[in-house]
Amino acid sequence: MKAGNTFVASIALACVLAMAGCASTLFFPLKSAEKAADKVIHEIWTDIDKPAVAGAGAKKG
Amino acid sequence: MNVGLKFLRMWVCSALVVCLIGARIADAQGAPEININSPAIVSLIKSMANRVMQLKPHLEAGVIGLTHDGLVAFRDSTNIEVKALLALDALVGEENKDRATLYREIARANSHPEWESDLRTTFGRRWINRLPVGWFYRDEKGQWIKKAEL
Repeated sequence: MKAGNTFVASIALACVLAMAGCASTLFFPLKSAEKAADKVIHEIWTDIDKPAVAGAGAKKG
Repeated sequence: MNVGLKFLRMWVCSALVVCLIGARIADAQGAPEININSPAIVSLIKSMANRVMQLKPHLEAGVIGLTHDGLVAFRDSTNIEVKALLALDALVGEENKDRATLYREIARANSHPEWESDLRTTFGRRWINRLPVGWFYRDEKGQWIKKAEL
């Protein structure tokens, strides 16, 4: 009986550890992260997103 | 059936249910916004924004491209002179250093350092999504793909 209890306890502990490992992925707020990523990318790529101005840099006259 | 095994089965099942419910709650609209306003993050965004126009011609030419895990990598550098290649290599190195720090800092600013890997892939996916047509990205299999019109 004692050996059985130890077995159950060790399996339970292994499950807790495995769950702790996968919890970060399970509880990762994907939608919020995507929203944050879009905002950051927009700020970084502001210049890329700007449409090219025809004749920009051309001399006047 | 052994009482211990019965208990174990019940325990695992209820733990899984709790996990799934938690995941649904975390992903629901009420999930807290991710903080991207720490001074370190703002500084990294500024640094990357200042570099983007130097990278742009090389991204357009397909010399470099984006990777699925949110970094920049060389795709085809055969037509670049050695001097220019060295300069670009340094630029890509700086960009990747900033990107890696950005993902780490966002995870840290939100008190979840374990999110770094998930943030990296989320950013990678969103960056590829925003990629202009004709630019290249490298997928999970290591294949370079040219962004096409939808």
